[in-house]
Amino acid sequence: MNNDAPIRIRGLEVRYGKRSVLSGLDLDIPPGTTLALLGENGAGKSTLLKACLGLRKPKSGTVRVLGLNPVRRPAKVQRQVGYVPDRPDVYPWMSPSELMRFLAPHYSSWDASRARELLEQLRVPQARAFRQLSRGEGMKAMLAAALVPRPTVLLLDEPFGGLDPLVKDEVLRAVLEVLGERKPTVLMATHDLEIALRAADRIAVLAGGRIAREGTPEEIADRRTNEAVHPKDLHRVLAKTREASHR
Amino acid sequence: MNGLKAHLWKEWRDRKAILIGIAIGLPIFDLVTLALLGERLARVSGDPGDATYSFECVIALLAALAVFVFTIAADLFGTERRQGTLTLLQRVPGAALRAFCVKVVFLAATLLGMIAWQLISLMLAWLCLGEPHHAWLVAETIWSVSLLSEGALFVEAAILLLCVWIALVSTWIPRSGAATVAGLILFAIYWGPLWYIKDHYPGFWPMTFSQANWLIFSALGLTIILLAASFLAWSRYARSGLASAWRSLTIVTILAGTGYALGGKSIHDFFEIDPREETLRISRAVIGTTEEYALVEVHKQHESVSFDFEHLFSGENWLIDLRSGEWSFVAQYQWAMSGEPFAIYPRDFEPVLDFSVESPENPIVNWVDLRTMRRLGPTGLYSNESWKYWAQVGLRASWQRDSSGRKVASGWGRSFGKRTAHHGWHTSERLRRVGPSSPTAG
Repeated sequence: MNNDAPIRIRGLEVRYGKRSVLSGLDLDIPPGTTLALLGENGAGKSTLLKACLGLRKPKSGTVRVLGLNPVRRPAKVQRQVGYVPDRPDVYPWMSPSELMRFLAPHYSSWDASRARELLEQLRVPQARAFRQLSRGEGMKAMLAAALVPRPTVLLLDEPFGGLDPLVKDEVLRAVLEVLGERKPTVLMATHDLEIALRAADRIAVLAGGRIAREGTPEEIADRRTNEAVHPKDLHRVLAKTREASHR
Repeated sequence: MNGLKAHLWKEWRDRKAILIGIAIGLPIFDLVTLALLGERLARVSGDPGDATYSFECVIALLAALAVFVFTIAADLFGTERRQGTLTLLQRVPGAALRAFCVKVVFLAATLLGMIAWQLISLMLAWLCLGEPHHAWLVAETIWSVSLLSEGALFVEAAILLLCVWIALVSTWIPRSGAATVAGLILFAIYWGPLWYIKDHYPGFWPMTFSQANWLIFSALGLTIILLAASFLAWSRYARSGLASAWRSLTIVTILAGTGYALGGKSIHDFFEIDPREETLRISRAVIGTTEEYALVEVHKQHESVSFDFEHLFSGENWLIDLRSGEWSFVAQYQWAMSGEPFAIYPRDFEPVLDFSVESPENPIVNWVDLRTMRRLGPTGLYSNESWKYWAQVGLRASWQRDSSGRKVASGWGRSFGKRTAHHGWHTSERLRRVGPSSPTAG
């Protein structure tokens, strides 16, 4: 058990009505680690992220984010945790710069100039409403918004879902570029192994409501028996990913 | 921009289109309605005078409230849910609480703004129809009746609390039990102050319900509006909230209905003077110079809260034949205060007892024998001791026990409901002995 882990979860059980989504889940994420949470649709990846943010109350078990219980002290946790949802959960009439202005008073560490810099760095149109932005631009704006307060922990909930390959690659590069500056602890939910292999230091596989496997990308990719991860041939994906990264 | 300002700005931006639409739509609605139905409304109200304009105002207000509940109140968080922005408020630190507070403030401001704009629209509609006099009457009605009356204020408060309740139930507390508790808390917030006032200022309680017709009419309209709104708005966005809303609404409505029933009884008890009541008391009287008649003002033990006696006192004027003890109903108290009974009975009357209140800060009632100008002593505002001063100046009711042991004014018993009963009032021997201009012994 790692007491310094920014995210520490023990015996987590979360239910939706009578249906148990997470059951007896244990997970530690060491500081500065990017952990990709792999799992099929409905495996409970988003639920786990929401539990870390205090938006989902556990039936049993404990969740500690930066040593705090997010259900009891959501505001304190949320001030130090950046969250990027699977789709922009902002007002469609809002522009990215308006979103930044709206969020600013909620964070004591908010830096307006950093917000502008991040939007420029990620090449997000600042004055255009979200409804007029492409999905990729919208996700990059959300990523920028999550990173402005310099979070200690970053939760990414399927940030690449539904993006076409080119845009996905662009957003992924943006994520890696920004994360490279100052390494927060990242928990990234995805069902895309390629993304996990490229971005993560470690990969955890969520199946049956608990962490079925956890290890480095290589360790995960080497296990051919891991059917819960992805139906495709993991070695083939890994090889393609390595090839792409060598180029 | 601080947090609350940010949310206010967000709320305005989120609802700008609908608010501008309403602002443009209401005057058009009023203009068309008055142009097409103005004559008919006047006939329905059955009164070509002020009642017409009160009626118009109430109709206009209900229309505004309907628009408000449909478009703003029932959709406060529905929009957030539909847009998928509820998680933004939940995941940004402190945003949920700020959003909720701002939404309630926004509700209040929109409600008041919409009411004001609707009434202004009504006036503008009359002006457009070339009837400036009607516009002026509407303004006068609004000022004197609709906005300043206790009933209107309580209804407005009730609407606001209902909207808060909608927001609570539809968003934050979808469980029926919790919704019921929230409903009860809001109910307590609304009724608590009234119950406090009831205990401390007895005269105010019935006056609170003196606008009962207005309240009932508005409550009925509001119920219909909420019924429709709940089906349309809640069912559209959150079916789970519907059952909770209705279950809790039922309980709160039953309690509120009981409260209004008690209020209705209060009004009845307050305005109906039953001469058999022990608590009946004389507030002032004049006696004829021939000592044949006395004109007394009787009322119950309710005094005004604001010392606006003329407006708030509830009582009656009785004319007493001091030779026979017969009495007859003369007028309601308000008319009596304006001097009408004195004009009706053109006899020479001499005041015998009067009172004055020292000041609102020091509500001591000083009783004075007006024939001798002697102070008879003070009583508290709600004191039951004034009877003894009446006895001192010689005017009193004689009491006896009826067959059931109840204390009644002697001689009452036949057709007092028609206020033509007789007997029971006497001048004391002392008063009979003393001439009208002679000082009365203390």
